[in-house]
Amino acid sequence: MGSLDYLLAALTPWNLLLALGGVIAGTVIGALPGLTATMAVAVLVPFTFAMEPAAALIALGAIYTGAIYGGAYAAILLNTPGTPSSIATTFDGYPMARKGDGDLALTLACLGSVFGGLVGAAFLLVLAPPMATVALKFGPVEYFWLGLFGLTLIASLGEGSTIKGLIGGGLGLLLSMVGVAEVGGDIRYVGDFKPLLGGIDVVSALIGLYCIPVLIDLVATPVAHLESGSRVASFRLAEALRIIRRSKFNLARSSIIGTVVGILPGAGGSIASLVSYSEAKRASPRREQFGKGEPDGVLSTESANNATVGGGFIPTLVLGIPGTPPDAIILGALLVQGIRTGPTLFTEQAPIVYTFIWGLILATLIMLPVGLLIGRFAFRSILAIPKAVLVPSVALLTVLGSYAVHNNVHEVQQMVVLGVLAWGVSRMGFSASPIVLGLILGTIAERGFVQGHLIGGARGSVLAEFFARPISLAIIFFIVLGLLWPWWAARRVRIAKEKNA
Amino acid sequence: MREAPTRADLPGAIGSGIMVVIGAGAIWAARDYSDLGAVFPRTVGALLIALGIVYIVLVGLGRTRRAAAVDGSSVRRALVAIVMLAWGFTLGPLGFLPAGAAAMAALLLIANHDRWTLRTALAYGLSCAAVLGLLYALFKHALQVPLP
Repeated sequence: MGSLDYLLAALTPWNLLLALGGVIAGTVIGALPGLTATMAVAVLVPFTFAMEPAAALIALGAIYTGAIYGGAYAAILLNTPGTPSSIATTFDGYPMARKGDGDLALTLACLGSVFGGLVGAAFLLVLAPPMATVALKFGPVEYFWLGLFGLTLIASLGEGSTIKGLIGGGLGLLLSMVGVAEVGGDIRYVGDFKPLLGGIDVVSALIGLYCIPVLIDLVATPVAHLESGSRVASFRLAEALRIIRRSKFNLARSSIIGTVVGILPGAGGSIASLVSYSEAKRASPRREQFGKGEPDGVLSTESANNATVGGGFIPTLVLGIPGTPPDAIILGALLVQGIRTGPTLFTEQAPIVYTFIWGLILATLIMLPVGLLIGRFAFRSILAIPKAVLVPSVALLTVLGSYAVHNNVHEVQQMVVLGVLAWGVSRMGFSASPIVLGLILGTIAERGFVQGHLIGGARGSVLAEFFARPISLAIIFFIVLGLLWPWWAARRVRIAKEKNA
Repeated sequence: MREAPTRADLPGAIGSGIMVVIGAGAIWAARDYSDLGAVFPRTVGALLIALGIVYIVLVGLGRTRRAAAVDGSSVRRALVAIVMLAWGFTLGPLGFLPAGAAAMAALLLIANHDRWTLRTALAYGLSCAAVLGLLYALFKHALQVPLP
């Protein structure tokens, strides 16, 4: 069978219906704060057990891609990431919505998600086997350096003082250590409060850190929660396409970053969107506008997080190693279907795999009209709701979202306590984003460091383990670049100003 | 012409002072951990202390800028924080619906800046009740989440 035959196999009315239904269901679930893409896939996976393998994969891929995109709604309209993948979308999406450009931000998010999703799927189609081999070479030490690389992004995320950003990152790192240490089993910073033994749940923390401060500040003044732009009734598609034409390199770079990060097992959409946001900011001539409502910020994060869908399927299908948490659930569904993933999958069960990949591409294309329509409806609805009703409703979503992750009331308590603390430290000029970055990357960096240290010790040289591996050296180069870049950029601006003076 | 001096970031200095204390506490607590388990806590604790002191020194030297003051009612802000904390800690003992209804009613009262009329009270109250009921049904019955 040729590629066209697989495309035709994916184009059956049943498969198209599954793709449409999956995208809609995923988008709606992803839009609810606290309900992650993982949960969307997990909740809906039993419906696929009775389907043909290719149809089941198409449905799951559509749910996954829709949920990742759906996270952008709450991020843009409520400053609360619907899914962890849309953390970085809040940085510019919410400021855009506050300025009356929420409809434009939603359209950009949709277009960016579709583009990123297509790039990820194209990589899956063409480059799956060779790229998965590279990902397999990532050991604990590489993950340690990758975690440190992510932490250097704090320098570019700091709104104002870099030192305050680094202090916030340190606080997040400390929070990531709460509970039983993964290696060694030390019980750290728990005291007598036993519910903290399991650590601080990232999703609950995200909801608290991002949403509670917004709720607290929303009630303080009678000013409307969002400005309604003069062209609120339209998609602002032409304007969005003009921005995309201007930012085509940003879009392509972010999609490739998302795909590559998606390939790394365990990394996922949140890291992809943060890395691509940082790179977009570094490369942009309008970097001063990032964090204040820059459309390029929304484009970069949304294209990157949707590109992780296709990227994450590469190690999942080729190696049987899930690239992202939803991939782990899809892997389980494949086993239920009797499909064994591995390098031979693309030859022995090629019809299923390639029909699925084309189905994923079709689902991503379907997301364009579906996403634009749902986005328009969501924006108009949020605008129409009085603030007095919106505040308790969003508060309810935060409670439900943090509870539903593990059905645990202690995680609701973590969420509100961290949220109130985040509001407190925000009054002192410490923003939530570096804390979140520290919380997410702390575990990855520490696990990699401890395991690398143990392996290095067993091999006779810890230093060689950390500093003599080619991939590690490449990441170290980018870490140094990331640390020096803000200083170099500031120096360049100062020199330019002196020349103009 | 000299630039006008910016206001010292006193809240930032206070926050940095708190971080120095947190960093010291992290290092102190790490004395009971194994060698490998203590590496990260000690490093991050030391980082917090060092950065906190650097920021306080910068504030002392007048090389920091204070963030713009926020406007609006501090009482309402504090009330929302109290209601959310109370909601989180009464969710288990009271159950989802009673705790949710009480907290949403309190938040509705705090968030409304307009004059209350019978019509707005009914409309807003029923809207919140509908949201609570719908989400309860969605999570409890459709998504099978065992709500308390």
